[in-house]
Amino acid sequence: MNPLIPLFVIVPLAGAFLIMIMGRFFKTFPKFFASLVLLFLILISIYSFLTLGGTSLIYKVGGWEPVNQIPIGIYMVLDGLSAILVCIISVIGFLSAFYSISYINRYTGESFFYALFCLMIAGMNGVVLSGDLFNIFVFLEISVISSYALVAFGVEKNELEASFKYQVLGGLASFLILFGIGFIYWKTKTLNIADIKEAFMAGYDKPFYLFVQILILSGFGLKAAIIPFHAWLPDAHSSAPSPISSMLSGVLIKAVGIYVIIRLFFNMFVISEEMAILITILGTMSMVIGVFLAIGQWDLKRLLAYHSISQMGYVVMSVGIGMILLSRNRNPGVAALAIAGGIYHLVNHAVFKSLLFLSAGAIEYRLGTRDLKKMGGLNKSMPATSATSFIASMSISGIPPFNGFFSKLIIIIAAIQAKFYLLALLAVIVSIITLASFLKFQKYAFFGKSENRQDNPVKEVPFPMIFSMVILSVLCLALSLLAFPDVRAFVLGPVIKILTEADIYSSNLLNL
Amino acid sequence: MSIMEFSTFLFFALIGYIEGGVAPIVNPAEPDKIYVDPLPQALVLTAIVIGLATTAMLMAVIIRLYRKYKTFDIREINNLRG
Repeated sequence: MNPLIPLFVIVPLAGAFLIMIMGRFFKTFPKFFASLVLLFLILISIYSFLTLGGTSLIYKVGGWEPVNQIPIGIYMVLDGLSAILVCIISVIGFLSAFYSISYINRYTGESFFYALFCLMIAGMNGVVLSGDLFNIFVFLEISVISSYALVAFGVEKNELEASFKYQVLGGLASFLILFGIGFIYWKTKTLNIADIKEAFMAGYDKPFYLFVQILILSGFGLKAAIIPFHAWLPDAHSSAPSPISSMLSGVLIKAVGIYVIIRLFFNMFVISEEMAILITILGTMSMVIGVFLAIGQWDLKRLLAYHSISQMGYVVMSVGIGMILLSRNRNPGVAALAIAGGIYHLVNHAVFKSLLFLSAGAIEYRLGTRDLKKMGGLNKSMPATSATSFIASMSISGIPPFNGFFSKLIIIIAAIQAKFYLLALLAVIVSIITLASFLKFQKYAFFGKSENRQDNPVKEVPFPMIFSMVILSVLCLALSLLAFPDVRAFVLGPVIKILTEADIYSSNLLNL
Repeated sequence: MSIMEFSTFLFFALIGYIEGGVAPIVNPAEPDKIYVDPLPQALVLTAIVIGLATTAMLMAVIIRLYRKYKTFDIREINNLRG
């Protein structure tokens, strides 16, 4: 029993309610309180990350002990993978909340904004920490419903339309997930992930099993915006206020999409080769198609949103390679490398994509447009934004010494060692196209001529925005330290262990 | 979409149904009665509440959309492309 775990959910939930009540009386209260809540979350998440050291902590909600080795009650589990996700959520969440202090002045209803923001964080932490299938669904709904509202926050034509699209597709995804959970419960008579694993290990009938896997994969694939399910993402991410886009793109699609897919397919289902191949193909498709859709975009935030799809493709692809190797029982070392590359890229993507969205927000804040053709010459007037977005662009397109280079390198090396030469080649090509489209962004936004803005000179953005962007770009550099094997073993070792030796998860849970 | 959701709820209720079962209130006097599985009922209850929240949210957005576009026809609400 670890008393820290429920705090990850309770603190932001309580924060949301306090913000709503206190926001009525004190105008400035919500601004600083939201940042304070998230700062506290950073502290406890980093503390638990450092003290975890490869073990898993379990909290049983309500104190229900297992009866005859069968878990009853709801479990919350904090292991290596969850700890990393929780760290990302709270760090990006804090920086986005701090950034919003000045950004959100343009909108009315600040206290609603921060309350929804805290609810979204609470939901995501819940998804990541939950060890129970239905609980994942409930927390997922908490976070996505608040994100529907946040996407529509501007209440203009485009925002509403994007939110509508997002809600219809999100509702479809929830339906698929709930249906899948229903089937799993029907067959196994339990909802605890570890217990389901035990039931599946004992035996299952093949067509049913495949059907459930497809249901779950398409449900969470919709949330993660893998390519055949991606239609909502560019609209929703480009219409939301910028700090929210950075949360959605940097954290939400990972926490409720990729994380759950990884967790369920490694730790709940018995890995089967056909599903592993399917996941790899989906990942490769999103990687390639996403980048081709991105390069033609002139709207800055849409361009970034399509790149999110493409970069998530890298993560899914390399995790899929790991799954294929594990299911064939060959090369566990290479499988571990591929999974490490995937998780590493996931962390990196969270950092540089939220930095890019925050920079895009800074430009929009000063210029009032997202059209790349109307920008130009901003490197003189906005030096800090220019520098941070340059770092982020180089990082996403894989230029050393930034973090994106090393994670892509690990993925490509793993693909070559696993003898998937085509995938390695595609990864390199996509990386080059990414570089091209970000050079276009740099050229049009920051270099080139500035058009007749003499009468209305563009100033640098206020301090909270610069602060968040600078911290994120420092993180971009710092994360490349993970390229050293020792550091990587310390940070990613527990994750690999939990994913490659899939039985550990359930045996940890059931024997306590 | 609501119809789809409710079909799932019904599915859950059927999972829990056992032939000849009674309401799951444990009566110490008759220990070997067969009970209906109580968990799906709890799940459906939660899912209904979530469905309500989603539908309410969707309605709110649709009302705002109507104010902007003056139509409910989704073929005419297509600002975002590409």
